[in-house]
Amino acid sequence: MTLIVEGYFPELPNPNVCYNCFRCTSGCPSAFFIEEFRPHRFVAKFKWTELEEIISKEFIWDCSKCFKCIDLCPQEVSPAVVIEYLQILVAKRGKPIPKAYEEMIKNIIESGYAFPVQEVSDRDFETFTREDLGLGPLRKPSTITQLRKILVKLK
Amino acid sequence: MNRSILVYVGCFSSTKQYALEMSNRVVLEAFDSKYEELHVMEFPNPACCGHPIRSIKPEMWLYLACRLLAIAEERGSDLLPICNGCYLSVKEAKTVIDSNPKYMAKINDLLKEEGLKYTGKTRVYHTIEYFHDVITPNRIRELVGERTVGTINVAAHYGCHALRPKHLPQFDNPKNPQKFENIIDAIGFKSIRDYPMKLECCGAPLMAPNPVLGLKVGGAKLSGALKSGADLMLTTCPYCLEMLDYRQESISSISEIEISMPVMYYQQILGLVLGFDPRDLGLNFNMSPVERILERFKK
Repeated sequence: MTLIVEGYFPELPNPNVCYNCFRCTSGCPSAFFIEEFRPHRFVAKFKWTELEEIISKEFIWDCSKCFKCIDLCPQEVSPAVVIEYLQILVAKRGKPIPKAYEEMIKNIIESGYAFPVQEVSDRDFETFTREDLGLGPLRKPSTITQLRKILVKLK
Repeated sequence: MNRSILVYVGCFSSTKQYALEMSNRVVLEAFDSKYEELHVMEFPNPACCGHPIRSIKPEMWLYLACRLLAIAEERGSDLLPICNGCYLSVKEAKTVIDSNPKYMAKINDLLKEEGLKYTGKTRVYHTIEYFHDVITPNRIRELVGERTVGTINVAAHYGCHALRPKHLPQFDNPKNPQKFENIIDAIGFKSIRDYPMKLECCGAPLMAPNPVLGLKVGGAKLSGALKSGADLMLTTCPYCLEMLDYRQESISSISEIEISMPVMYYQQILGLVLGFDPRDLGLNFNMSPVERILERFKK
């Protein structure tokens, strides 16, 4: 495992102490609308199933990252962190991730920003650039060359 | 002399949600010029905070967030990320590396290439925290003075990443926060301190992996504010605003009830009360029925 998966989850919450009380799922905004999205089930699977099997069989991208489940859990299991751990694992294995994320990674390495600068329409369908609004051009990071090198290293 | 604060705008507002950058600048300048101890400054050398890609490339996230902390430290300043995503990103990164010398060393190894160093000195503020704890409701009342447009009932939307997860350092009680309401009341409005769905998600982070689900979650949030009888919903986060304001028509089209709720940035309404032109606050970009509120300001 690399730097952060180790470091960012120094104490990956212990799923074995989960009561299966469903508090996480009962408060989950995604679970409210999507029957298959059940945070407590991800935790249960995490306990009993090979991680490789979970990430190849389950759709784990419907978490809104509202982090209510972390605050609701009486056992400090943090289902959202378990789900994020699985998402990281998918990315590390080179399996497909939602396209929007790939775009953002590309953009950040290229320009330092996650999104390309846009012209935006107002209520009267008039379009404006940053310059039109007096905000000036988007500022490039002054150390973009070095930053790019670092980010490619961390990719 | 007080420490200065660097305003970090973040990718989303720098590339699309211009109204936040505009209104925030106008309003903070107004406070900064009246109260010289505030020292509000623009963030130098900005790049993404890493938040949008945290669950795909955690190493990139941590580096990007820490470089913001390091740049602030280099200037002897504190940091004010005006987006909830950026705020959580930087606060969480700080928590991770301040308590972990091994990762602090690894990050500093990388920071060297950008000529930076971080030792843990930077303090991170949330917009609501900054208005409440640094500017203070008293100064807001003072600057607003006698200006009044009568009562407007406001539903405050903090946004998830302002106060969750609760084990990170918090500026208000995550279970029942009140500071946003306090700074809304300081303008002369009436905040609804308790409404259905007050602490619920806006749905924005779901727009990348599952837009329909995102819209449903946003609809549930707006329905709660409608039920409370609010005239206006306020937030400080550009992702939340895009969801609740800009996408309100799409949300309404998939909802059982018609949703029609003016949504603005706190900085926009504060700017209006202080007498700034709606266009200088980017209010022509709000797509929800803000005209209902703007009418109150016509003389």
